Amino acid sequence: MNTWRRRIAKERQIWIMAVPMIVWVLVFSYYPMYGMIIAFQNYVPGNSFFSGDWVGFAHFERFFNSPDFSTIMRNTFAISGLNILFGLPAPLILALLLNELKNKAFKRFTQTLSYIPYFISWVVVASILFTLLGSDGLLNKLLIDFGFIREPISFLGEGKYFWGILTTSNVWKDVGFNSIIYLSALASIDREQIEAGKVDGIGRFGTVWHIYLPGIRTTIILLWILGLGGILNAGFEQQLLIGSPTTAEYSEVIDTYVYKYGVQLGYYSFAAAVNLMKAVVSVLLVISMNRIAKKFFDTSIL
Amino acid sequence: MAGEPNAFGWVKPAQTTVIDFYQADRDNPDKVARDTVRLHDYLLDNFNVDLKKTVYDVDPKERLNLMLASGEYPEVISAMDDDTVDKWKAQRKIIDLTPYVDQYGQNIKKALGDKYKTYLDEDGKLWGLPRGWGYLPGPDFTAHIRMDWYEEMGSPKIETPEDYYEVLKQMVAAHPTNAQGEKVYALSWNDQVNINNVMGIWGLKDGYKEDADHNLVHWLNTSEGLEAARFYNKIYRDGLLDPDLFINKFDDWKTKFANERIVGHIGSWWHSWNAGHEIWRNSVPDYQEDMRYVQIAIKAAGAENAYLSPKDARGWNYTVLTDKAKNPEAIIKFLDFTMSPIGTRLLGWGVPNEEDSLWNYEGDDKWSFNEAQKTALLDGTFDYEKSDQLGGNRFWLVHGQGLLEDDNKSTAWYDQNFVDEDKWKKLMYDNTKDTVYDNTARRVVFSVDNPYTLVNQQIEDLVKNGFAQAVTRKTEDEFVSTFNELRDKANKLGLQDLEKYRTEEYKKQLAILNQ
Amino acid sequence: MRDYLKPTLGSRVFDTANVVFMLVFCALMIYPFLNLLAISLNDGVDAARGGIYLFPRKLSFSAYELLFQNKKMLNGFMWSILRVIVGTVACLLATGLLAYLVNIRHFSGRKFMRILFFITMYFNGGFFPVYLLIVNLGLTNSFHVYWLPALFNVYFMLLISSYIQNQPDALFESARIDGAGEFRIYWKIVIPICVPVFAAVSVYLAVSHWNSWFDVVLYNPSGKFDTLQVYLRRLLLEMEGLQQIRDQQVLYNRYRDLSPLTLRAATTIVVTVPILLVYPFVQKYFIGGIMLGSVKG
Repeated sequence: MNTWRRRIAKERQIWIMAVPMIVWVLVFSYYPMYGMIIAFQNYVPGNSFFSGDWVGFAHFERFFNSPDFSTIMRNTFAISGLNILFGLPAPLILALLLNELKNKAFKRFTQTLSYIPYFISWVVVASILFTLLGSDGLLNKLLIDFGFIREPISFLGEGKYFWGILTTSNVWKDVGFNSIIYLSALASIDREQIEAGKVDGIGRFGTVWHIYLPGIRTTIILLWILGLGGILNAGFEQQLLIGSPTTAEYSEVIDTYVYKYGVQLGYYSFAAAVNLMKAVVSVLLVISMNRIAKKFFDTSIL
Repeated sequence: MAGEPNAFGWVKPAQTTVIDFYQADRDNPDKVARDTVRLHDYLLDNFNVDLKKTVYDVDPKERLNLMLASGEYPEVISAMDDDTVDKWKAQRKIIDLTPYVDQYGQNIKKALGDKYKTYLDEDGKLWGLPRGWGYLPGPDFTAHIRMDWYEEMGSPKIETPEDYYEVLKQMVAAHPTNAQGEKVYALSWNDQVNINNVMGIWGLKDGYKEDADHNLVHWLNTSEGLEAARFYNKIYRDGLLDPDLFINKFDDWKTKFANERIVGHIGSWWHSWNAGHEIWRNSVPDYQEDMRYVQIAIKAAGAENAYLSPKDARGWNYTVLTDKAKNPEAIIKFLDFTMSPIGTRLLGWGVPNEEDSLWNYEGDDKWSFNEAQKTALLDGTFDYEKSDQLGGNRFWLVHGQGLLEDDNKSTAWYDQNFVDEDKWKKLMYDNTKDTVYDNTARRVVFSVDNPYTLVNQQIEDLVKNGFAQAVTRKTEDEFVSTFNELRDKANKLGLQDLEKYRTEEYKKQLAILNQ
Repeated sequence: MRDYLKPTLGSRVFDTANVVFMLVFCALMIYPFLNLLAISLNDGVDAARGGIYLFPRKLSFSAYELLFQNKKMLNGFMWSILRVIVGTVACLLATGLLAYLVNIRHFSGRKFMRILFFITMYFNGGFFPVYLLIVNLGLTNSFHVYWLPALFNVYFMLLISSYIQNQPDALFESARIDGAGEFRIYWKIVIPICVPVFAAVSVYLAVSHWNSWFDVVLYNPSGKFDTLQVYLRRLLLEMEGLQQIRDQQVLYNRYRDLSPLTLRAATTIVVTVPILLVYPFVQKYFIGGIMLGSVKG
């Protein structure tokens, strides 16, 4: 009898804290969602949102029927795919490697340096790439000096290199910053477990495979599910700055397309429609991957 | 004293006229504040007009939309484009200016002359006053060549693009690498160069061929367009075109240029100055004056004219009064003053009669240039940043940028007033005499309601990318087939419909302007 | 604890390779920063000729002088710091509490709350409704717009939540049995246990607040609450603004007034260095430093 009453009292305690949070999210996040309605209208800023100028799914159709649709989707998936393939494991591997460093000072020093690229703007990155990969750039000079090629290769001018350059830049820029969360997760692993593993003689690699990775499993799964859910976000600023007319075929992605043919020309409804579509796809992806995670790894992020 | 005309012949109002305007241009508010203080105070003292300018460092289109959506906006807004004026007019947020201009806008009407009626809508109402209308007779886009190296070669005649390339070729042969041993090229490109300007060399006007009946054909569908692209492709195949030409952002191109790696250029007239002698005169020891680029005109053999610089005289955008304007008469009265020749000089050249002023005003419409500043300008020792603080052209609400009607010589752009006396500017003007033409009638507004907006943008992007692909083909056959592919793709997208649309609009505008 | 097993050959090879890798890695990570530093310490006109790599060619502090001469810079710095502190602490504590609440086993509303917040990570009403809301709530021209609308962050809630899930439930249960209230448990037990993840999240939050400028110029256009980034960005935005201009005379004038390359480089340095200076104090909470007391039984 006592525990039951105490349990109700406990829940009430929680609800007292939870209700303001619910109010907050309703006010700041849900209330403005009426704006999504413009995806089904021909919205002109200044008009009321409910002026009833309905066009239904016209904007969605326009997107799917656009002449470059297949190119845009191909580029988006390719760039995102590469970002996921390399960009998701890289911070984890970096965190594990950092963790293995014996000298604490060196470890901290390296880790601090590792996230500096995050603060370098894409404008600067683009200009560095130009210095490195331009026809007179460092890479071409080296390749010619060592006799691998005779004529300089226009790395930034030929479409087939674009995805590689972009992915490398993305990973370079984000790996250090993104590894921070993995490091914090590693820090929470029970030291006794690690010691026990050592005694059992499972070795360095064994420690990683059997103790570290399982120990931060929930974090990994969470970050990877969210990362995969963002597959339709292939970047925007990078393409505009690193891309050029000769690589346009490989650099046009959903976000750049929406910007050029939506926002810039004043077609806000079109932009809203595409963003809405992206959101729906992302949510569905995350939910389905969460189900898989629940089944195979017994972890759910929701 | 109020009620009495001031030194400029303008009657000071009894109550201070406050003009607090937002200029929809992305700008640095700190710089604006610093540069407008002196002129603001001068106007307050001498005109009893409190002129305040607000700018934001966000996208002005967004800002205007937010203003519209939230209902919070100032009395006067400047730099609104056609599309936005229409939007605000439809929502009844701006006021009809016709009654005020009819009553107080004599100078406005006089300055705009015949063109005034082209700014009225179908109902004969004026919703926005144009700013930056008219044009300077000087060129916008030219070909460029390195002066000292050209004189070295004996200044051979250059008339056609082929001549130009020959000369550039010889120049590169004479200077194959720069001081650091880096390769030198004949031509390059940067992200500001516009294909349409290049097409002008082959007689195309703003990218289109115009026949006797004013029908327009896009360069992709003409033989001239093919020749123009072939010109660049040939240079590329000869290895004299910078292979990174379409990757260059302006800064990258500027670095190459400043390092003496590009002997020629086709693009904005000031590109080669900004990236050339304006750097060298401060960084090269023993700088000689001839170490610079000069602008020249070139014309293809069959072209009727080198239409290098299309000029749109309509103006950059508009200044409007919103429904929150409390005293439109007073505002228009002042704006009218700024349209008079002396008013334009005041707002164009800034505070007069001070030691560092650009000009002096003696009253009674008599004025003169400050000799010291003028000499500094011609010498190249002019301090632009300091002179900016005199407020010249910082309050640009309605005045024009062409030659003022009272002497047909002065202009609001201070540094363009001495073309005859500036050796290099004069050379540029002389060389490019016939390349400037009035392109106002070709103006099309691609607003949200225009059914051709999307197609236009798609074709523009397609053409930009396709041109780059075609120029960088390694054999002439590949070039021709890439060009033809591009042309076919564009036509499939709707290029010919776009041509028809542009032709219709053009003919319409011509009819209005010729009335 | 002493490592009483002898390191194997493979282990030592790995360690050496790891160190070599890290050294190369460090060089790759830091080169652009050193490059910018060199450019920022160079003379402006000379820098336009390019070719500066690790060392300035013509040493000059003019870029920094230009930056620091404006007293707004100091003002901006102050507001930035205030924003980082208030914003980070507020969001961290609030989001942490939310993360804890949705992990309480016997809380019947936890699935509901999770989903409620999760949806907001992907769906939003866009630019205008949010702006209008902020205006209507009277948050414009105020400091509070910096932390209140960002008080609960779903992404970090999920991160902290997954961290909490890893902790044995017994910890919280025993406290409950002892009669502790949920908020007390959060304050006295959850927060200390979550120090590593809180430290990581606080880095992300602090950086985000430090770098933000868009909401400043949007909601506080008067300039009264300008943060450092706003002031610095103004010097850089000129390039973007020029894309729209077509008139050649205007462009000629604007390009002449353009901030030199060196100034733009200096702004990156000025923004990054404070972070590098403060970071080590937070870093020790999740890497090679403070050992967490084992509250686990």
